Amino acid sequence: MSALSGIAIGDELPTETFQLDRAMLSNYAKASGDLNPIHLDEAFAKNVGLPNVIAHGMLTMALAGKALNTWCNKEFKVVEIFARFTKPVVVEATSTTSLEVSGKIGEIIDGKIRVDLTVISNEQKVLGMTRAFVVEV
Amino acid sequence: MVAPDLVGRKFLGTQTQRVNQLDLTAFATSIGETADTQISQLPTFPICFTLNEAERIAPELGLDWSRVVHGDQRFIHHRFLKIDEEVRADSEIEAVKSMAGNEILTLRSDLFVGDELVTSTWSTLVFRGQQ
Repeated sequence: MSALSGIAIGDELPTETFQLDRAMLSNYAKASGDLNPIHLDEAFAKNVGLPNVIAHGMLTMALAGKALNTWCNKEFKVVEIFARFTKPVVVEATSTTSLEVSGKIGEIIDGKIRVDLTVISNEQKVLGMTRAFVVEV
Repeated sequence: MVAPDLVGRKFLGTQTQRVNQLDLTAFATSIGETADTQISQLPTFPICFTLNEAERIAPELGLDWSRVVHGDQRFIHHRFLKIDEEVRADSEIEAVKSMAGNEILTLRSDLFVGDELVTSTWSTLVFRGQQ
């Protein structure tokens, strides 16, 4: 059953945790067509002043979408999604970076549910104002 | 500096891109979803059809794509794209501003299948100034 069934304003959705690694960045780069070297090439990333390779903001947002998909469980669908990219998500060569996505119901109008998402990595919010609207399929 | 009078300028898509299953599967599996995941379960998938449009438009505005940072992103799905549909992106500059040496561009890209508007997207792109 969908985590969204019978939900009420203020209810919280179960936190989804994802692990990002360099292989995921490389696969996402190819799949999305965003081959910016700051997501792929450590020397390049450091040369432009980043601590290391960073994940695509759109990958982080796609993982927020994945959490929504899990909550929707094919009974609901996402008709709108917004995110602001506020902090880079650094991904080291030899370890994974954890990303936690949680959600809370902000509003329900005419069956349209607003889910307010919180996306955290290394104890910092990495996306801001992240919101989605979902409706029953 | 990007001229403020560029607001409202439109860039009509000159060619269509086909939605194909291989690309969809690659996108789904790259984020750890299963290969049979549907487009309706991947709310950010249409970035595959809009980011390349932004990359094409940027140099026409005198902006250096290698200095771009994504500021924010919105998708509104009027319906979901389907496999084998031919998609066209029509874009419009909705806002430009200069801040702290950066040029900030808000680009709306509407994805059409024929005359039907399927997905509306907005990207705020920050072009970092030379230090």
